[in-house]
Amino acid sequence: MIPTLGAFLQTVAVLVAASACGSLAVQPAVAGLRRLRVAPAARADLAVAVAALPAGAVVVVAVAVAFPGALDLLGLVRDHCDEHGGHGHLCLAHPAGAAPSLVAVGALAIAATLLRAARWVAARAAAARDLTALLRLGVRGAEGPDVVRVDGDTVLCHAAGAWAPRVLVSTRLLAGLPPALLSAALAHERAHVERRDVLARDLLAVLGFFAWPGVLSDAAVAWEEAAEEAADAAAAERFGGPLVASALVAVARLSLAPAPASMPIVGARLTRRVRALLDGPLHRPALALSAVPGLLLALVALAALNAEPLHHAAETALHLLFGA
Amino acid sequence: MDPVEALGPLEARVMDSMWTAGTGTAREVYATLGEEWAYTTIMTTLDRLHRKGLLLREKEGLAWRYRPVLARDAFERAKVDALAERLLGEGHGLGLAALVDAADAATLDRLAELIEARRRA
Repeated sequence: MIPTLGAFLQTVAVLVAASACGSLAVQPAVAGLRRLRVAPAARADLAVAVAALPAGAVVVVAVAVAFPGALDLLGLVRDHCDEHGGHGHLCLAHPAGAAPSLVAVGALAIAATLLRAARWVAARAAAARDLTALLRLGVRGAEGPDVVRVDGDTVLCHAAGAWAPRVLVSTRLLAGLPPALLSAALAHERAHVERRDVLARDLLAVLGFFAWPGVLSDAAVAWEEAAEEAADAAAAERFGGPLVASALVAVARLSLAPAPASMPIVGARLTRRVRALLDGPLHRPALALSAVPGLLLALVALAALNAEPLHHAAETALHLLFGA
Repeated sequence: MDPVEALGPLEARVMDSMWTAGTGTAREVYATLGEEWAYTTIMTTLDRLHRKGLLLREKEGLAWRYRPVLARDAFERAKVDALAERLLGEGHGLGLAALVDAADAATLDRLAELIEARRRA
């Protein structure tokens, strides 16, 4: 079976509809997530799971659409192509039923997604070059083997690098913080490194390609807040909440800058983090980011097991909506 | 002058030579670099570095004498700051300095008091 271009593009249009359904579910899920009173590490993991909803919907429908044809290809089950009368027909092999409007939607979706992906890859490549150049100018080891010190006036205290994350600190920060606060700040950054947060943010960006543009921005903000609070909590386990809160305030004081006019509540995020540190740790449910791939696999298996009804449901929806 | 984009490989070698010697003419740099490149290439590179704002120059007879605008360590600091600002601006790092810089002095004073009160309690 060789998929024809028209049939392929029509299938992509169906996946666009699946992405729309997944995208619709993201906003209420993010709102619910922010109300949850659980440990920030769990909230961060849940934010990734919520951001995976559109990608999950796309994967499930893709399996349902392609499964009958794939089984036919393997000679296991004969596809149902001959059984379609005037009914819509989702098939990778036969272009006859492909509706022109759906083919156009599929082509536009592929072009838009490729454009978004190319822009993101270009930005990531530029950032990776900048990071490499910065690391080359730095000195490793004095504050720990995972810390790179750079000689600069910018207040820099960052975990950077997706695959080989390191902590970057500037001499301005080292000169401006007393040793106890510096230890707490470095513990916060090491927590980002241990949690692989930079990689998780890249994962969120990739998941964004499966969602409608802009839909995941709230989920990304919710994840970022939760990841920062999770790193705060990890540092607080070692140094205590008040000392980590003091480090946050000290770093903010070092990098004190006029607040942008668009920010009505100045320092709201910092205030929330400080209060969370002073209030102590929250309950941490048994949930981990590592559960997300397993969940996706389970969804794929469920879709494969129910491929026939899902496939027919998609065809019926196409027929009703587009007369395809 | 953009310290991040400023230097290609030959430009870096020429700047290195200028930072070591302090000043130099095209003829002197050409001699220092072991005549690895053509004299005219060195002359063009020095002129380009001058136009990029990295070298100052003054006439010495028929030739130009060049000297660096910034010392090596000042140039590297400027480069670090430019790279750091770009990384922070593009949001490709995670950290304390990226997320707490929107607070004003009054908020920070209030939070410091809150922390102190909690410590005492």
